Amino acid sequence: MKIVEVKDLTKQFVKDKKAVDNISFDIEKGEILGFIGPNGAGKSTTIKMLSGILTPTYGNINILGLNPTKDRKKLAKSIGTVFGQKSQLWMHLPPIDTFNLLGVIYDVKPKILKERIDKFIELFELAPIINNQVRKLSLGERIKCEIAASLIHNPQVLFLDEPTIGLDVVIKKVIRDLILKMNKEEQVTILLTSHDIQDIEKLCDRVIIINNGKIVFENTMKYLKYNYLGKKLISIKTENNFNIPQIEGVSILKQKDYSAKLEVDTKLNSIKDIIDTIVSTNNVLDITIDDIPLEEVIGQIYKNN
Amino acid sequence: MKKFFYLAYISIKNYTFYLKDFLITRIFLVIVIIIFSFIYKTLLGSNQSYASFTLPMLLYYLAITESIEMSKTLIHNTISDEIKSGTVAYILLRPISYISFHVSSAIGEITIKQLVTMIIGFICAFFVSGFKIINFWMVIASLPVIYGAVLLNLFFMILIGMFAFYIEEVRPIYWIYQKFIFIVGGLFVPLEFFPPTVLKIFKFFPFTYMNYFAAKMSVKFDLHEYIIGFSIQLLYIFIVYFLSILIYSKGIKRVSIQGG
Repeated sequence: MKIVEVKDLTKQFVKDKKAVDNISFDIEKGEILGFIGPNGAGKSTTIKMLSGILTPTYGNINILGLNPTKDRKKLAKSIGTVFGQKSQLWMHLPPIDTFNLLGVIYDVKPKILKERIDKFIELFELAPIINNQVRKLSLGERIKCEIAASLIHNPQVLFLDEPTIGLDVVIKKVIRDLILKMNKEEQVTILLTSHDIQDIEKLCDRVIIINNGKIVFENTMKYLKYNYLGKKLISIKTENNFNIPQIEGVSILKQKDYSAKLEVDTKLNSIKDIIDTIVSTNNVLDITIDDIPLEEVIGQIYKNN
Repeated sequence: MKKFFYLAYISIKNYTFYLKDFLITRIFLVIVIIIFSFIYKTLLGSNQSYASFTLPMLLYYLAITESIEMSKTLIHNTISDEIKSGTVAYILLRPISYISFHVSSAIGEITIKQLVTMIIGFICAFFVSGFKIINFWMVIASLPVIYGAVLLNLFFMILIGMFAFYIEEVRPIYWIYQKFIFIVGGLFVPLEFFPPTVLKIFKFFPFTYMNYFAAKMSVKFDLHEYIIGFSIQLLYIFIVYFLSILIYSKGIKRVSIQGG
């Protein structure tokens, strides 16, 4: 069942530049759709139009049978939002106060509100911080509370706009696990935007890549992974001169005396085998593995098109 | 209505985290009352009163005007920052109107601040005036116009904040408004200290009902003047409120929330 239907959506803030340019897509009930793109691609503008904050220049949006621009107040009870760079929590009060306030604002019955708060305290492991002032929480703890706050009124659709921005890898994983957990527990449909390909890879069934306001890719995560995310970047620092290993699928991007940057095709050889070979032939001081930058993936998609 | 009262309660709770800061800043009120007691004494000279205001009346008058002035929250800055930073998005997505949200969340804090500041001001005025008291029944009868003044100031500041939809910086507008309060609002001296013609003109301004009127009724109650003044105050509250809604409804269409 389609929960979100978007057709020919366009937003033009200034003349001759469209922030979102004629995009169309649907989201099924319970689906997690990834919406990725570089800075200024139009991700957040799209979310703001979907939630009714911005009025589209052209196009139609239908969420749960409602038009967000005309029925924003009505739709408010069915959608939740987390803007990673903005906070909805009262900074000087503990998160529990914001949860209670949101419950009252959304007309959640006291008994149900208490049950939901208890559920999120358990699910998100908020017990140690629920009574601490928000301004004293770490960013990771705050984002956990932001997500819980956005779910208090039991929304059917959740817009997560860069929820993992600024978080370290460990906390990112915690937040991703939470998003997956609540998607399963609450059957909530999620539209997730991120710069981080890993967020999308770990969470989404389907992915849309947007660039300069246009959709440049729309397919399953599996397809994206197989065709565009099969490469990794390995940066190595060694004690002595770096010995170039002769391994299939490895190409050298940069090499200096004691360091090198390699591009690895994981379809031809596993990361484990490559690392083993490098470590056995070099005295390795440091090694890091990164994904291909999103900009490069987009470049590849353009090239293939 | 429950959500509006709950918001007011949360804002009071939020504010009480700074109770120590709040009480420290009230020292300023004590200093102001002491300094103005000297000015008033010089002004009165050997007379018992000036424009039929005695020294204790002037000190209690100042305690009330300052309690209204010092209890303001800089809501125009909050609104302006929300519009500029995009945090406005969160409030727009709630099933509550943007203006009601801000009125409810500010009113709790302002009411408590005003009440506590007024009590501190009265205690200070009592000591500085040489243990003189005023008729507190007049103060109680004037509570509706005192809180009317608080509300009118709040709506006026929300109206100033609404200009953030159209201009980058609303602080200069606030600056002008504040200067009007100092003069036309009768913050430091009752408007009777001005020539009668000026007083007649000032009575048409909304600023007169943001400070002077409430303080004057508290120390020099007059039922006829009270009824007329309270009616004008209510009229201004509605005018400013509707102007805010009008500017908001036009401005919200222009909003382009930043970020992302």
